[in-house]
Amino acid sequence: MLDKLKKLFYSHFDESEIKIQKNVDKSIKCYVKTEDKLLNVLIFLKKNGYNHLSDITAIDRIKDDKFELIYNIFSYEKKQRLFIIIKIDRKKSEFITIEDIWHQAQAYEQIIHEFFGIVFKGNPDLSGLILHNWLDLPPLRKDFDTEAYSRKAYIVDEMQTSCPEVNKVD
Amino acid sequence: MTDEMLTLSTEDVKNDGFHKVVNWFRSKSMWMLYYCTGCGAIELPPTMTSRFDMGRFGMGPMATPRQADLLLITGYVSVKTLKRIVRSYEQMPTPKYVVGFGACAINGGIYWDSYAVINKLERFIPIDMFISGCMPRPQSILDTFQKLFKKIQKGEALGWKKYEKNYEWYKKNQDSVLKRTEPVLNQ
Repeated sequence: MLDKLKKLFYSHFDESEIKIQKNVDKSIKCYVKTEDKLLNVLIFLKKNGYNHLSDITAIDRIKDDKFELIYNIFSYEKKQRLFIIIKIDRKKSEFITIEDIWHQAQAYEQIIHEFFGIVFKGNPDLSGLILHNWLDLPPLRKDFDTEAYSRKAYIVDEMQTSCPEVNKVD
Repeated sequence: MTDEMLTLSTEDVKNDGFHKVVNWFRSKSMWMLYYCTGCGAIELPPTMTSRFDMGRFGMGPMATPRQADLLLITGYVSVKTLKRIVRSYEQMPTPKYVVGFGACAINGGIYWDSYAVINKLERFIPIDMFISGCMPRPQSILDTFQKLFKKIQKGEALGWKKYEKNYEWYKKNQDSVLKRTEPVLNQ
């Protein structure tokens, strides 16, 4: 399967642009090196049978100063799962939407925007979906301190003592 | 059963024994609304069905908060859930009782450092009884209900009065989480 896929890819793309690797299970990881090529790769895959987008996720690689976007793609004909992985700049944290290729990507991108703060240019709706009235850093970024947040927001001892009458009932 | 039977003299009735009778009847007919926030909901079906059968204590499930006496909060409470819990609780008619299930309702449990889960439910609505455990088994749930009924009969389960009396304090705590206007950490 890996050889077939390599043949398919390298007939169309240059070897320096895409690196193909076997994953621990039967799925295959494809690292796309340049950001501009991602749309081409996805359209090419959709034409060649990989027509189901299962998920989009992100990983915060804070040591490399990068965000990793992972497009989880499946082919029902070939029974094969592909992870298209692309690294984007963490400071800029901006990328293009793939909503035109798969419509359901809109919601996945909306959630990634909410939890990582990545802006997808061209996505019509990036409003909050899950968190309630969130004003801090996006919570799944590695530089967000969830323990400090929880201590400050929910374990406030002043709240406990400021109302001494709370346990008294006539 | 005869030991538990209520005896009431004329003097008792004169000294507000009426509420004693009413409380005794209340404890024998409990309609519960279970707010299944977390994993605790898994222990309720065996408690309700034939094996442990909570129906023998005069308890039954109720579909709407407006006809329920007892609110069960089974598990962790996220910020979004808290909003719904407060809404359900305020719709219930008095007297109303709340039972918090498991470590998560007490102090956040394993989610104590999560950004999404509140830590002490007691601060937002009054709780009459807590059950320890992660999650509590049906035996301990039934045991807690027995203790709650005794408390109701004695007239000690007064969480709803606490809420009425300290309404502003509870509202302030709720708003500090639900209607936040500034970021918590200035990062």
